Amino acid sequence: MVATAMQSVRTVLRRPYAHLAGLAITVLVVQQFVESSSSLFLVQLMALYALAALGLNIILGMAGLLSVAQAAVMALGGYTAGLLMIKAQLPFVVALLVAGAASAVLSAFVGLAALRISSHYFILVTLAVAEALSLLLINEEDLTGGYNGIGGIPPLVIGGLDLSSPLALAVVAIVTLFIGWYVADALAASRSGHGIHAGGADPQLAMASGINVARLRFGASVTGGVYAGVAGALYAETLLYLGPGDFSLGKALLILLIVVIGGMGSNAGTVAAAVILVYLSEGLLRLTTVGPLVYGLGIMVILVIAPNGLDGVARRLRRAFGRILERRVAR
Amino acid sequence: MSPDPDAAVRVRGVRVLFGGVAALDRIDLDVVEGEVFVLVGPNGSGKTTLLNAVSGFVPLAEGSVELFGEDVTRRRAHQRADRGIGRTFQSPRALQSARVTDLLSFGLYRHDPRSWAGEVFRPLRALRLDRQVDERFRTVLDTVGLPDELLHEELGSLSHGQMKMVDIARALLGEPRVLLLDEPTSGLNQGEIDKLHEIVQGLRTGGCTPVLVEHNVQFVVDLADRIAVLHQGELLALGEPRATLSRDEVVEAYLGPKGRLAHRDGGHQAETRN
Repeated sequence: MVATAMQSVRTVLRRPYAHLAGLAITVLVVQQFVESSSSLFLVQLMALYALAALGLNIILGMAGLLSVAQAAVMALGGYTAGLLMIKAQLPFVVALLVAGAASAVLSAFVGLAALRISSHYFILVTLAVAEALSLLLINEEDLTGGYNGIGGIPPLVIGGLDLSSPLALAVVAIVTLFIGWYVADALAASRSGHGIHAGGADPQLAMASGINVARLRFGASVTGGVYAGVAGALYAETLLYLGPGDFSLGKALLILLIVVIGGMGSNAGTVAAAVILVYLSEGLLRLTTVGPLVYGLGIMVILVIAPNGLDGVARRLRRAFGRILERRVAR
Repeated sequence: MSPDPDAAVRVRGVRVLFGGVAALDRIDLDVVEGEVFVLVGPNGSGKTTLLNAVSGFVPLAEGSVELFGEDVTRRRAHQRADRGIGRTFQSPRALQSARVTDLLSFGLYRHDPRSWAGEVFRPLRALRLDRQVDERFRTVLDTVGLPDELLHEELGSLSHGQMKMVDIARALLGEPRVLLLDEPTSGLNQGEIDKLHEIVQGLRTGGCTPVLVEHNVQFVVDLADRIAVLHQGELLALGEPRATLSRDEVVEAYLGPKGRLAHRDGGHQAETRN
């Protein structure tokens, strides 16, 4: 009986209803309760980092490829979109598409390494790609402005609609996040998603099941890259200015931590962790001097208590709740 | 060995080297479609290596492997799976936090109707497909004698025996034409062993040829149509189980020269040790 109840709960909580409801509630809450432009800026950042982290979750959480290149891939998306809008006066939507494609190509390039190189060396390759891109952004001054970065990115307009107010930008970021989340959940539930997951969990077992692990790793890298590229393009619209420091290794580690703390492979956990960690890193770290210390210790404590991240905690709670229900019913 | 047109698996002159040592040395074998074929032999005799050679998990130094008449020597493991080779592992070690349904989904991969685009654009159809897949998983769990409540359990919470049965269920979902089972009875209790016996028999009637690596001699004698005895990477004997197992060279390989004498004197069945 509990099982049937759980089943119907699961059906209601399913795609696409859960995502539509979540989107509506989030937008409503932000619109009603978040007023200051600095808070709205924080909401934008949360949504965009969540989006980039969802991409990394496909690469790391599902395919098992430990990459620190996700911030670099996001940077490429941001710079591509920004430069296309500034120098070629392209509309945002076109710039967004090109940015997504460019990031996909860079991420695919990184993914190619994963086909040949075992996991320990793969992270070094991603580190090298991240460093190379950052040097490129600094040294190609004519194009990227070097350390000064690129300014004067035109404010967000989609189809003649001015969306450059903080609230509108936040809503655009949230809508994009929920679309990305929905698509990522659909991937996880699909044949390809199970194949990617299998390749990450146990490559031998995956191959024995007829799964082309190499091809799916590559596909996961490309898909994860698109997420970062889209997040980067929206990031450009959020700041209207981009510098190489916006996508430092620190940002790469933040995205990595979001996935790890969220619970590898869990999209909901990733989004929740993004909200928490972006809030902490932007609020706590900026406002207090002991912030970084508390932040670092906090993360260590979380990883010790909950090695499977927020998703692991949620699962444990669900199981405990199920047992309590079961006992009630038994009585 | 005479060529057999019905061979499900044909191994010819297969040689596998591990750092210069021959783990398999020029093995010739035919597995006939529809028979229960069992590989036996002491530890380190190359049984698992032979399974790996057939399923594409070790490179061959020499020789060839054919599946249903097609040379697959140059094919990679997943391509061989596509051509009908299924296999289980001695100790399946997929992620502990993955659930039973995840592992079964890996197995269903080749026949999984849930495409990504379908999941994105047709969520209601996806819901229906999910129910179908769920039903399929419950059926296959039933086939291997596991309760369907296990479906949403984490793999880490299963017993060793349950885990092995789930891995068999995983392999069955790929609808293999040849199923390689690597020491399926190790770590199983008697009830599970009986169930396994039933599963292997069922495979044959379902048109799948089972090939087992097995230590449990009693299990083998009851079940196998033919057995092959491997010793130090070479094929020592091949044939009907009881007769083959009591051949002198086989007993000697297992128990040493003294064991052979004891076997003669005692006249009891050769017991293998892990």
